[in-house]
Amino acid sequence: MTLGFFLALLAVAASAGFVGSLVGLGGGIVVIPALTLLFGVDMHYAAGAGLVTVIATSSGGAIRYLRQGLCNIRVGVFLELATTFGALGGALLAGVLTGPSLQLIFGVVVLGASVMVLRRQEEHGISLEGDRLSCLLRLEDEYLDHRHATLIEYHPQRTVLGFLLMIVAGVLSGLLGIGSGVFKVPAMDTAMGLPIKVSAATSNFMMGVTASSGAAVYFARGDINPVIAGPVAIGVLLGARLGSRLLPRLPAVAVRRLFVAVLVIVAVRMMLEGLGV
Amino acid sequence: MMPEGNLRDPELGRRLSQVLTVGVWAAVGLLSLGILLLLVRGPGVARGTDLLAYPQPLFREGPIAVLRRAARLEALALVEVGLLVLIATPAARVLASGFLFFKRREWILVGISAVVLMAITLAWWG
Repeated sequence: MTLGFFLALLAVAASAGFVGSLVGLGGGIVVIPALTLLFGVDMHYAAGAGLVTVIATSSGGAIRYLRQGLCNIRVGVFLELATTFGALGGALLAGVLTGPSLQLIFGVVVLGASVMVLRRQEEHGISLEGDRLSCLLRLEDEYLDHRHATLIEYHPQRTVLGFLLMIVAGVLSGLLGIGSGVFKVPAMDTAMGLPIKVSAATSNFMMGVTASSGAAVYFARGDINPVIAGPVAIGVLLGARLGSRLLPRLPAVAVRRLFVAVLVIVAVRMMLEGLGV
Repeated sequence: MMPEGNLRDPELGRRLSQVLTVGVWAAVGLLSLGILLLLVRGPGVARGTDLLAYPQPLFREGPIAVLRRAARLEALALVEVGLLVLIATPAARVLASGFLFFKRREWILVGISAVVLMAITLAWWG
């Protein structure tokens, strides 16, 4: 391994960790195409490094989000049940439901989600009364908005709908081999009515768990190449650390717009792949 | 002044953050040392000339063998152990969540953590 190769991998991975930790995505969407297109890495190794990216973004970002109080642990643990079993179901379905049509459907769903996320006006819409299930599980919480130095209290709504959407998120991530932040954040933000920063931080907290199972399988198969995944992991951890420092200081509307921009890129890329372009 | 931990349950956030910190720093230490050795003296084990065509993980030799290699400061073995520590960190966090909810007698969340942990374990063994 040369120093130039290492530094180039480090830079790509750091940008993936930075963006991923800011908007609640794994960062695989940046790392996988960069590895295959820029470095000529085999797709299997790129996908393995993509899973390592998700885990590093999740763990690196969550360290700070947990201390900042941005991450809702109870919501995260509750919804992990849905995503874990959804991902197992998706992995089982992978042999049956594959192909371009699935990518096309995925692209359309993500594009629809991006419109819903963009239209939500959370500054006027955070509920102060939770539904029965969220009260039972004590999912309500509050966080300190650093920009306005105000305490923002929120109570999750439509918890059952959020749980069902998380099963779908898990199934799709198992089917398509992607991190499911693109579904998790809208499910928490738009369906459950959580603030966008809490949704991004909680998505970040959750996604390492799903990726851990997948990464174990990839590792045993020999698809996690240490020469690639090692520098990627270090870079992502650095980027995620920077991103998690920045998130509390950004205005919610900026986080929302950044997330939507990433969603649109993901959706268009998936639809083009589905159409064979 | 920035608050430490989740505002309604500061200890829960702090403890889970500590678990992740230990896992991440252990992984960073092993990965950094391994990568430094890779840069300085190469892979440390016969792997052929094209490292990107990585044939199979050293862990196939068994966990004890690879830990011995890592103890002898073989670069690839150190990076592999570092990656495994990183991959196992979310599972350790789920275990810690279950334990902390058990201490709080929040049985529904204890049950959920246990089921999720079982699913991850199945994936690791499967």
